[in-house]
Amino acid sequence: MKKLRPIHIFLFMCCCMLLLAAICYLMPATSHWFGNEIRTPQLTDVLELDTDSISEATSVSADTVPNTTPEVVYTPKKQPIPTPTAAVQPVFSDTVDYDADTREYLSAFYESLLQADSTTIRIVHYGDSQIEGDRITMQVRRACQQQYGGGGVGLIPLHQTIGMRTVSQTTIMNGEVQQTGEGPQRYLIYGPKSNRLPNGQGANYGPMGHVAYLDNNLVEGSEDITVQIKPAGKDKQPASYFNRVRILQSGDITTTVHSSRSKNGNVYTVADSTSYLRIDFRGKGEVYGISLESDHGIMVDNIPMRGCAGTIFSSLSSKQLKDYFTQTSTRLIIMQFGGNVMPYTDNETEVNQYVRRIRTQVQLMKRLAPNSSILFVGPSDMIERKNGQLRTYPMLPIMEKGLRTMAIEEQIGYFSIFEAMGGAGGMIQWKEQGLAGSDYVHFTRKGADKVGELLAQWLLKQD
Amino acid sequence: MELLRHIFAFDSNSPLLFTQLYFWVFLLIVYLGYALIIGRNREQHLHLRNIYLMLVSWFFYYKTSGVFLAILMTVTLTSYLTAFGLQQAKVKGHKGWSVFWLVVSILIDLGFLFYYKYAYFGVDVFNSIFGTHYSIVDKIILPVGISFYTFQVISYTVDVYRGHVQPVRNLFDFGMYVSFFPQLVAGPIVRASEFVQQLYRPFHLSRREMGIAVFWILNGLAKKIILSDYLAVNLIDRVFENPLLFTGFENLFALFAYSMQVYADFSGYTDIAIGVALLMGFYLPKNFDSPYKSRNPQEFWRRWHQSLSRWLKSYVYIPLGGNRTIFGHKTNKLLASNVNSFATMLIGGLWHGASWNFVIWGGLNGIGMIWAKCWHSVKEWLGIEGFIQRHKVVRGIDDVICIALTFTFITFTRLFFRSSSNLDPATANEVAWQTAKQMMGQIIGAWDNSIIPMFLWEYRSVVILFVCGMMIHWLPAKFKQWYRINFALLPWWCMAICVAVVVFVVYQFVTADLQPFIYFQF
Repeated sequence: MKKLRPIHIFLFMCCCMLLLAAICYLMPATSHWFGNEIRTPQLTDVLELDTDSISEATSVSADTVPNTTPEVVYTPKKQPIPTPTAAVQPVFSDTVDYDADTREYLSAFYESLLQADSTTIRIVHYGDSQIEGDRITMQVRRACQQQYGGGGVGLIPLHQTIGMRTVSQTTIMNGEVQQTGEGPQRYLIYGPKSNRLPNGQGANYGPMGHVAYLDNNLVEGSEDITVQIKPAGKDKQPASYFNRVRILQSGDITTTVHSSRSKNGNVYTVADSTSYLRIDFRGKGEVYGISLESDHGIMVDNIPMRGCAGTIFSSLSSKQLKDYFTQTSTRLIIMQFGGNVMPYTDNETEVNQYVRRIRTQVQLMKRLAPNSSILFVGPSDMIERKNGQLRTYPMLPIMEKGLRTMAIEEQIGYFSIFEAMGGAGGMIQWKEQGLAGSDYVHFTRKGADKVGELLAQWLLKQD
Repeated sequence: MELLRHIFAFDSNSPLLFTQLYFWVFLLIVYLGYALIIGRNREQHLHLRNIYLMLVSWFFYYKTSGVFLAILMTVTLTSYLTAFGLQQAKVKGHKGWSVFWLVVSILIDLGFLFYYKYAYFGVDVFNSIFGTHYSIVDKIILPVGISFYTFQVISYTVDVYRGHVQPVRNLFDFGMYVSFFPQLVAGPIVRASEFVQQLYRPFHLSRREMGIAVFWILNGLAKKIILSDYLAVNLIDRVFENPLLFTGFENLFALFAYSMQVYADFSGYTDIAIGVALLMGFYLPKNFDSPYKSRNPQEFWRRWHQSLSRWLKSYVYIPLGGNRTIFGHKTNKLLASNVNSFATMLIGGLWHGASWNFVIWGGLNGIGMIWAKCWHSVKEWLGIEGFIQRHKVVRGIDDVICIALTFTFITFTRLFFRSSSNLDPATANEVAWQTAKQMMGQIIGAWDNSIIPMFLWEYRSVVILFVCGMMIHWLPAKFKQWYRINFALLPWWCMAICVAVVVFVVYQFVTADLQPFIYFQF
């Protein structure tokens, strides 16, 4: 067997390097083979990649993001997360004052806070998967209830499919504990089309966009459902305790709220500081939700709609929404959407179309809840990888600008998570600090807490 | 100036990893020096070669861990000196002194390991037991590779004590053994008896060995970047971070894919280490032997991280009593073997990370091993084993069932293996528990069949990679050896083209777009 000397190995290694360099030199940065995009590193890129991984790229620093360029490539150097005040400046137009503090459009909400010790005030937080499991909402609720009183977690579905950090729910149907994927038949206004109500059954999804049908699966007899509620985890907070229970239902259902003291319509009074509860449902009909409340102060509903772009409200029953907002004294509606359309939005025309659709939804909400303020929470920074480089979705800053413009023109509040995170590239910094997941889209629990705190601070800031 | 700083200074954001271009340029330059030093391969150049390799290894470690290089140097020096003290005592017949030096050496080695790796965990356990509220004020950062080189020097000292090896006479030779850069940060854990004699052997590399080395490097790169990193970024991490966002099927798939990822990541890294060392004329022991072909957990641990398993057997299991004694008391073989195996697995679990979830993971593996042994005994007693062995078809079916069950068992133990932090055991435990609970909850109760076809289509690249990865993994060993040798026999220019092609393909995965979420499209 032929023996080699180290110099032979060295020469072989040099040959490999030269061959790779030749490929980098000769091939274009991108080409297409059989319909697939093939990427080739360019020599100039390789030489710039001095210390960074080949999977990351260097370019403009996040704190020097230009105002007008939507395509911003992030530099993977660690930087502290900027506070909202140090964030990227929004893009300006001639007609809209972007510096305006949109909290002035929340005056109806702020005025209602003055009566918080004697009346109830409801905040309804609609959002996409970013708020699932009470994420972000929990921090807003905690801050509001600590400052203005109130208790209870607000509206929850009959059968919880996504665990909450505040309350834990167990559904027992016909004597058997139901897992998250089981439980009564449910229909959703969001998600795959197979989730919708069958044709001809209207749009009665309730204020959560989520209705549970009792007796749907049984040929005869009625379903017997028991819901047990208890605090989740060790972290007790005002939201863990309540003294009123509101049941949103229709049809022929007999409801028993155990240990309730009195009943007024669909609202049951239970002992002060109740945290454990058992409710029985028996019969045939629809349940739209259970609301755990207090007799004064602030209640905050967490209503996540996975995969939803926020354009579904016009498909819900206006009457049901209006009734809910009226009966619960809703004074603030938070709409947190936008992220789900980002991967499929390629140009400004599509952004404008989306913003127009959102504007329609906002106008609808204003009509349905005339006594409420509306706050739109724009999408967080989201990252895609193009040619090995991590970058903010090019259309994201444009959508941010469009949504902000819409909010100011409609005179509703606007909170920018994108800005609060430090603008373009902020998500990568959050990921590095354990605040965001490796998908560069969702927050970790710690990150969601931080966003919630930032939102609550902004909302309750005293000038 | 900035360029020089980038090249030579430590930057915690840019550790020197095998998957970086920097490393391969570093290797090329190191190899040039290596070739010049060895020259015509005279024996008098051996010490110079070892000094050179020790210095470049120290530079490598400095780039990876900064000032923690001082710990590596200290451990090297103390182990070198105590081994001499120990040997002197042995020669003079002073058994007490030889034990003394052995204990001193191990205490120093473990002292560093315990302080840097287990301080938070120790305080947490102490607080739990005694109801105290002590905390560690300083932030302790875990030096890279400390678990590996600590075990390596302990094995050296114990082997000298046991008389299995003679102390290395030259400090620099010993320094090279401890810090040899290909295996310094992620193993294999090389025992002195396997490596020390190579320090005194002139460079030798046949044409075929060079081909094998190149094969291991390419194999490792492909495993690490395609099967590990790509799967992790595009599916596994996002499911483990938010299990509730995904259905039971997606959680289950991600869990199995995680099993593949852990294997591909770790074995890929050690494949590269073995290849790079071989290019320099050094043989590192094999560390993985297609572990998911195992028929039971016991076999799995003989095939998985073999250097650690051997280390634990020699320096924990046997000193604990092996299959003879428990705490020094002679007892039933099966009982002793099971108790000591279980204890060894608990320690093995703790070696992987300083929190209870790793102990649980180790414990589950220990239970699995005991169960497999007992089940085997029952099968023999009932005569089932004999029946299976007599019938080829039945044996084949039994193999498939056992392999599938073992793979599934090992996969589910990994629910406790994944943890985000070594520094805060409380957080690590909570994260691990929550993740395990949520994933199991989804797998059991949130099985949405309607999403399966959509998932398989939208995540087709991930699914295809996983399936292909497993198919390659399960290829017969002989076939793998056949294509490995045939690759090694390719002409050098053909091999260079293969290198270019593999790097080019790997680059496509490094730069591939992130997989979007399915529900974005609703």
